Amino acid sequence: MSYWLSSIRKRCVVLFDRIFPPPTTLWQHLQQNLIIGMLVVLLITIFQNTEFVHKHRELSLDWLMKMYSGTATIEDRAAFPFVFYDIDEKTHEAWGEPLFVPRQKLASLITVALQQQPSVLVIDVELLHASSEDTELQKVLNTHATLEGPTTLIFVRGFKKASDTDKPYLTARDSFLDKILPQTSRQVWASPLFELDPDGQIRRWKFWQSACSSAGKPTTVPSVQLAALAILSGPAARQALDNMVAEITPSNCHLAPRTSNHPLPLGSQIFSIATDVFGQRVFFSLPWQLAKDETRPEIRFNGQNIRLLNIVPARAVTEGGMRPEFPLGHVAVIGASHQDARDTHATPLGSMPGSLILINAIHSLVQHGQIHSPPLWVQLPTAALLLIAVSFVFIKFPSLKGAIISLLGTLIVLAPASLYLFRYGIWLDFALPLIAIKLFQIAMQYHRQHMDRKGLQT
Amino acid sequence: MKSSMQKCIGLLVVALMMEQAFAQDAGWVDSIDGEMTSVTLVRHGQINLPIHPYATLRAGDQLLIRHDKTAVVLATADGKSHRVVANQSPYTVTISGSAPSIPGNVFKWVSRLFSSDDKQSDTRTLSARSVSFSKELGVPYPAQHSQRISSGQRSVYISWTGGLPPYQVRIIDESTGKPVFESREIRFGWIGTPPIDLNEGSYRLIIEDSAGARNQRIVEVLPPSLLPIMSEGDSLRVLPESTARIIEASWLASVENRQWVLEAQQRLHKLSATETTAQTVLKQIEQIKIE
Repeated sequence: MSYWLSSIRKRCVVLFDRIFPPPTTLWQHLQQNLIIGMLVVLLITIFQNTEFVHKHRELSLDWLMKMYSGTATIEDRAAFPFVFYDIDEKTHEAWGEPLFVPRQKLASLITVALQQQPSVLVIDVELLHASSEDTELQKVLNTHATLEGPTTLIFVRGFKKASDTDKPYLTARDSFLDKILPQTSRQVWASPLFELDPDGQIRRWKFWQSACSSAGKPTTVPSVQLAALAILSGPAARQALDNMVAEITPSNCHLAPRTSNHPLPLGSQIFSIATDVFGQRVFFSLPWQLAKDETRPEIRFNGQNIRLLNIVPARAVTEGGMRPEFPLGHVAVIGASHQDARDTHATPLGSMPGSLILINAIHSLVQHGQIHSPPLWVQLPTAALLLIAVSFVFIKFPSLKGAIISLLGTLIVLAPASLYLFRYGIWLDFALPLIAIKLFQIAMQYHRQHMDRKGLQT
Repeated sequence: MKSSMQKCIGLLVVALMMEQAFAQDAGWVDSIDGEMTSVTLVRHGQINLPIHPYATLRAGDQLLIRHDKTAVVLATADGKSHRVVANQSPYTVTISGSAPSIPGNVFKWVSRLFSSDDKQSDTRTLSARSVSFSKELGVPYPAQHSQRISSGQRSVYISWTGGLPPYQVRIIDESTGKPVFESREIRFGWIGTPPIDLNEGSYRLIIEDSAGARNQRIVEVLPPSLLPIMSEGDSLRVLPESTARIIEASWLASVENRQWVLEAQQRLHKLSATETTAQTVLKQIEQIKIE
């Protein structure tokens, strides 16, 4: 056995020496370095879905988002100001720490929010069961459903695991409002669910949630952010989303969801539902907490300057009678950040309440759409050019110096380019080239040692 | 001289107010501690405007606080608040601070790489959201005995009290020494893991806070057949199913030297999505003091 292994090894060394004879000219050096480099690029392309490479690509995206944290929006792209009516810790205390949001308080919050005429009002509050104090809430919602107005309400649908285990879907939970409210396009239900990564962080949004209704019928519930974008983009976008939902919903609850190759145009953004895992990353840019010297960025909206994100404590509205003014057409969300709500989640920008994740996701879709990498014809020549540059560095500075200079050089060139392109939703992935260069360095070190040994032998 | 310096400090340090063109609201009075009558608002030279909690403020407004023991807490839509006391009076509401920029974020990131007190600055920012950061880090699982939980692929809900956020939680398989779950940067005193394969055997649950305090417990994962059986279980059948399950879970938390608290928590946490009573019972179990 060991004889065979040793024989194979010797043959490999002979083949290696034939391909890589000791270089004597600069051109030979460069040629050999490029061959090794391109082999490394090929290997990484083949193994790009392995855990190691995937993890580093995720981390590079996390880093880019941290650099964009709290910064201003892209001026030539659409942007909407957000108002978060926050049931915060003090509000929760002021309301007597109830286990669920009191319906009368919710009715009051919705009334005040509607007076400001937002385009979309997301009610990120549990509305499963009826309570003894629903009268006011029903009245507010019924009035909204029957009267004309600029605001579309988005309620969040609850889901649970199916008790019938042979169904591949979650069960969409009924709300007491289902039977009470009239059917109108100005009140829609959406899914608040996101993908949860193995490290417990939320990084990716979902197009929709396939589910079974309690009556056993298949249903596809669009995500809050997609529904919001469709509403903000106008009737054509809403129709496109409805068509797509109808297309992918299976005929019964035992079948897998259908797929679609059609693009989904929503306003100026075009979505592909067959995107890779990185295409569905939420571009988080609104952190929950700011440093002492920081404020929220402003955007120009309907000819006025306004903060991108306004956080209004719910108690200021319900207890204090405060009526802050916001421009028509903004996006409002009613949700909770207090600890007992248990709706705080880890994201690349740190922990944040679920409602702020929804806001980040809507803002991400409005501004950037789906994140996409540059085409392969851009990526491969970029990698080749980088490797040529790194080869020169290695020829000039062998050993550790070359390794440090090439890594730093790559970072200095790629990081700013990546930061610039990222604002347009283009992800110039610098993790892959860095891994490539690291592997290239290891290969070069081995190659050099082998050449040195050969030199000593001859 | 003193008064103008105080004004300057107020202007420079407080990153409270931002200008809005459509409405001049720059923030609001969050609360008034002390005598409300001793606080006066001056706007465009007009004095004695009504001031009360949640009154909105504009850039350029002045607050006069005449009573030494009175303070006004101001808040902004940035989610920040600031306390103004009598010796800062007259206090001018102003705009300062700016939105982060990409070069600024890069600079901060690079500075943190070379900074030794990164942890401290993090905890300062976060302490405002910690409910119980001043208390000692504690778990509701007795230290004398291991915890027990039934095996299978399941999400695990873990909770603790006190300590200084952010927290770190690890579940390590004792047979391999490898973590089956690990999460950092947890801000609150609980976490629900994604589904993990809990095979029978011993695991080590480690909870650490950012001040370095650590609490660890051995968790024995046992087959479901070894779960204690409630002798009065049959009598619960007359109750609604969810009520019976809550009672059963509370009983589980109290038996065998409280070794099944973790298992009881899993059941109550699941039920708490729909049952308010389950949430209350879960809270009670989590707040029991462990000697």
